[in-house]
Amino acid sequence: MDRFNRLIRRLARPDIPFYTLPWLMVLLVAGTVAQRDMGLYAAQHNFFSSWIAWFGPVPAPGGYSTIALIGLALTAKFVIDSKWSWRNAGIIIAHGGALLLLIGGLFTAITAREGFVMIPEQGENAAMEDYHDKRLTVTDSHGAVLADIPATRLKPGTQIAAGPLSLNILEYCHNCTPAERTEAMRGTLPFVGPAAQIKMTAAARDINEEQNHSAVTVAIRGSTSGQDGIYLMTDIMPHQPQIDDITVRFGRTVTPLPFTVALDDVRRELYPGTDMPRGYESHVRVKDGTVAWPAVIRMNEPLRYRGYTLYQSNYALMPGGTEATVLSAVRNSGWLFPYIASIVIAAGLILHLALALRGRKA
Amino acid sequence: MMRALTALVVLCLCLFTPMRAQALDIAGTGFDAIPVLHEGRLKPMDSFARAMHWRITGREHPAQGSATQWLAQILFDPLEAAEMPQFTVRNHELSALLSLPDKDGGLYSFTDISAALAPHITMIGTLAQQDKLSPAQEQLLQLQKSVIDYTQLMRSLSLILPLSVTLPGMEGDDYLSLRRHEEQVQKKLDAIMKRKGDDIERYTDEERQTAAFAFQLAVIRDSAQGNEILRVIPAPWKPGEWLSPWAVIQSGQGSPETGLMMRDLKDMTEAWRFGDRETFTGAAAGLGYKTLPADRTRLETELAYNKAALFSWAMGLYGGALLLALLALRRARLVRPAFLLGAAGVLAHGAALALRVYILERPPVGTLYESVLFVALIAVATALVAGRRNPALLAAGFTSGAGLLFMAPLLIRGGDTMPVLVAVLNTNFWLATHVIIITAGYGFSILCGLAAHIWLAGAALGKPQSSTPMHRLALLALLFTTIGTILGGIWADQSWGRFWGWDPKENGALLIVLWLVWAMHGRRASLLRPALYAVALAGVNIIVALAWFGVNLLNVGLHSYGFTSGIALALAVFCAVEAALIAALWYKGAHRERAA
Repeated sequence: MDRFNRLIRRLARPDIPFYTLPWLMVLLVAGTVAQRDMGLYAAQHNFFSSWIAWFGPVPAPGGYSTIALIGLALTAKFVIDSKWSWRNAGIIIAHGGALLLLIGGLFTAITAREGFVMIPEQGENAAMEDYHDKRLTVTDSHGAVLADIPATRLKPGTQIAAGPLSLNILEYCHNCTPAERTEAMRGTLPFVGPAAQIKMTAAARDINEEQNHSAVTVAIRGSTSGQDGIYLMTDIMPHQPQIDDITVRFGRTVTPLPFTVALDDVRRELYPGTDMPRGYESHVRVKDGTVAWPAVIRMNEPLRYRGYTLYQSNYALMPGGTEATVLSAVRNSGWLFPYIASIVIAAGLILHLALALRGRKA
Repeated sequence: MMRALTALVVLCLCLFTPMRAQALDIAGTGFDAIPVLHEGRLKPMDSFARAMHWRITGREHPAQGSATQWLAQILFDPLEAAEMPQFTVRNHELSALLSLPDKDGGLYSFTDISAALAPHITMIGTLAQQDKLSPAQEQLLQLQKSVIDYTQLMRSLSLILPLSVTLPGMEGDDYLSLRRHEEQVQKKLDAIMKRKGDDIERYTDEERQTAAFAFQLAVIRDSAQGNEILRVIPAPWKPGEWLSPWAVIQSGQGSPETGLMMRDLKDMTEAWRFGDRETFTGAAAGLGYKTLPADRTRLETELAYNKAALFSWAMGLYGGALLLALLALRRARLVRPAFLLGAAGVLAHGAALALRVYILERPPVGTLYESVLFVALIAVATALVAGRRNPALLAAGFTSGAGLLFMAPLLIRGGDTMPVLVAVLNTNFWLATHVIIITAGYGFSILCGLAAHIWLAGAALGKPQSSTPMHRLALLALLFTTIGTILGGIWADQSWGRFWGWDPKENGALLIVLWLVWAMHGRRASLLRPALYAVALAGVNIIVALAWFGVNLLNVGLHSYGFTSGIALALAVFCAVEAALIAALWYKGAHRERAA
C-alpha cells in the first residue's frame, strides 16, 4: 500500500509533464510534416494513434504511450495533490476538464467506428463502407462466416482454411493497375473469370486512401464441382466468385446500419456566376422498421440517430447523370465528452485568470 | 488553334473605328459605382477594377490614375488598350524565350506579348499539367493567364463598339444593331460566291464590301464565345444571376429592360468617344440604377471603403506612434502622445474591419489575409490596454501592428480582398466563435512573446523589468488558444464527424497550447529559471508563426483552404532571426548575471 502511495505521489510530480510535453510536441511536428509525403491517414497511424512511432527505422514512444503517461500523471495529480482552495480553484477545475478530455479521447479511440454512405437520388442505403478496412471474407450459403481476413494479413503465400476450401494468396497489391494476363495456367490451376484476362500489378500508393484500389489473386482448392482455380478480386469490381455454395468476397468492409437512409434530393448550391460550392444539403428520409420521417443534412448540420451521426461529406455526379450524396457516418458514443470537457476547462481557466488579475499570486 | 484565335483577336481589333487619342477622365462620373457580379459576389465596378488590375499586373492600382480609369480604357477603347505597356517581364530567361526586345522597365503591350506567346502555345499547355515549375515557367503561365484575362476584358463591350465597315442602307453602327442583317448578308455572300467563286479580285466594289461586312460580323461573333467576365446585366429570368452583355444576346435572355441597359452602355461608349463627360455620367448613373434599383447602401459603403484606404492610414499611424514610443523610452512625457496616436490607428483599423463585416455580412475573419488584419488589431489594442504607461510594450504592440498590416497584402489571392468563402466556412456562428477566439489567442501570444523579449532585453541591458506583464499575457493567451482549439474541435465534430483529426492546422494550434502549458508548468514547478521562462515565452512567436503560416505550406488535410506560395522563405528567415535574437538576449543577460 505504501509502495502504491509512493508511486502515485511520484506520478503526481510536475516534472513528468514537463519532460513529456516536449516529446509530444516533437511528435506533433514530425507527424504533421510527414503528412505531406505519407498522407494524413498513414502519418496519423504512425505517429499519433500508435504505441510506438517509427522515425524511419528508429522506434520511439508513439502518441498513445505519451498521452497515456501524461494522462496517468494528470490523474495522480488530480487525485492526490489537488486539495481544494480558492487560490487553486481555477487550476484544479481546468485540470479536471483536461482529464475528462483525455478520458473521452480514450473512449473514442476504443469504440468509435466510421465509414461513408453513398446514396443516389431516389435510392437508399442501409450500410456504411470503410475504405481503410478492406477484408477477404468467405461465407457459406447460410451466411455463416468461414474466414474473415483483413487486407493487412494478405501476403503472398498466406494459407487460409475456409470450411472445405483452402485458399492460397498468390498476389496482393494495395494500389493496383491492370495489365493483360498472358498465362492461362499456373501449375495445375487455371485462371478463372476476370483473372484469365487481367493481371494486377502494384502501383505507387496514393496519399488519399479512397484512390487506392486493391486487388488480391487467390488460388482456391477443395471444390467438389471442379471449380478449383485462380481467381482475381478487387474492391471496385462486383465479382464475387461462388464456389460450390460458398461465396468469396474481397472489398471494403460493409457495416450494416440499424436503419435505412433514402435520398429524395441532394442540392449543391453554387455562388452565382461561379462553380464554387456554397453549400451542400441532402433531403433524406430515415426509415426504421415501420416508421419513416424526413430530415435535412447540411454542411455543419449533421443528423444524429441511434448512436450514429451522419454528416454531409460530398456530392457526386454518377455516370448517367444521377446525382448522389456522400455522407460520412460515425458511431462514437463518446462524442459528448469534448463538449463537456471544454466547458469545464474554459471555466477553470477563466476563474484562474480572474483570480490572477485580482492580484493573487498565480 | 490558339494561334488562329490570337490572330482572330488582333484582326478583330482592326474592325473597330479608332477612338480618340485622349481618354475620358471617369473620376466623379459614377462609373466606379456600377454593380458587377464577380466571383460570386455583387460589387462596385471599382472593386472589380482593382481585382482585375491585380490579377493582370500584380499591383492593386497603376502608377498613375485609378484602376477604374485603367479598366474604362480597356473596355471602351480596346484598340488603344492593346498598345499600352501593361505586362511586366523582368525574368531574363523568359524574355529570351519569348524573343522580346529590350524595353524600359520590362513593360510590354498586349500586342507585343500576344505575338510573342503565339508560337509557344502548345508548350504552355504542357507546362500547365506539370507539378514542379521553375520561376521562369511559373511566370510564363502567369503571363498567359494575364493575357487571357486582358483579352476577355477587351472583348466585353465589342458588341456595341462602332464597326469600321458598314453597308449602306443599314441602321446602326455596331454588332448589336447590325446582327439582324447577318442572315441576309450571308445569303447575299453565298450567292456571290456561287457566281464568282471566292477570288475577291473578281468582285465588284459593292460585292467586296458585302464580303468584308459578313466576315466582320462572323469574326466578332465567334471571338466573343464565352465572354462572361463583365457581368453587369441582371438576368431577367433568374434572380440573383447576372450576365455579361455578350451572354445576354448569345443565350437569348434579352428583355425590354436589358435593351435599355444596353442602350446605357452604348451611350457611355459614344460619350467616351467624344469626350462627353455629362452624357457619360448620366448613362453610368442610369445603368447603375436600372440594374440595382434598391439596396444600394452596401455597394456604396464598399466604394467608400475602397477609397478610404483605412489600413494604410492605420499602418501610418502605428508607424508614427512607434517612433514616439521609442523616443518615450528616453522622454517619459512622450508616452501619452504615442498612446493617443496608436489609439487613433486602432480606431481606423477597427473601423475598416467593421466596414468589412457590414459589406460581407459575416464575421471579420474568414481568410488568411483577414486573420492577419484581425491579429494586428488585437496585438495593438492589447498593448494599449496592458501598456498604457509602458513605452516598451507600446512600441512592441505598434511594431507588430504595422508589421502585420504591411505583410497582409502578400496573402491576397486572385486580387480580391473580399472573396466568398468555401462551403464549410459558410457558417457565421463558428466564424464568430472559434475563428475569432483562436486568432485573438494568436494576437495575445504574439504580444506575450514581445513582452518576454522586453524582459530579456531588460536583463541584457542591466535594467530588470517586471515579469507580470508577460505572465498575465501568457495566461490570457493560454485561455484563448485553449478554448479556441477546443471550439475548433467541436466545429470539426459538427462538420466532419470527428473532434480531432491530427491535421496540420489542428496540430499547429495544439502546439501553441502545449508550448504555453509547458512553459507555465516549468515556471510553477521551478523547473525553469526566470530567464529560461522568458526565453520560452519569447519563443512562442516562432511557434505561432509556424502554426499560423507554416501549416498552409503543407497543403494537406481538410484545412487546406489557405494555401500561400513564396511564404516558406520568409517564414524560415523570420524563425532564424527570432531564434538568434532570443538566444543573444538570453546570453547577454546570463553573462551579466554571472558577472554581478
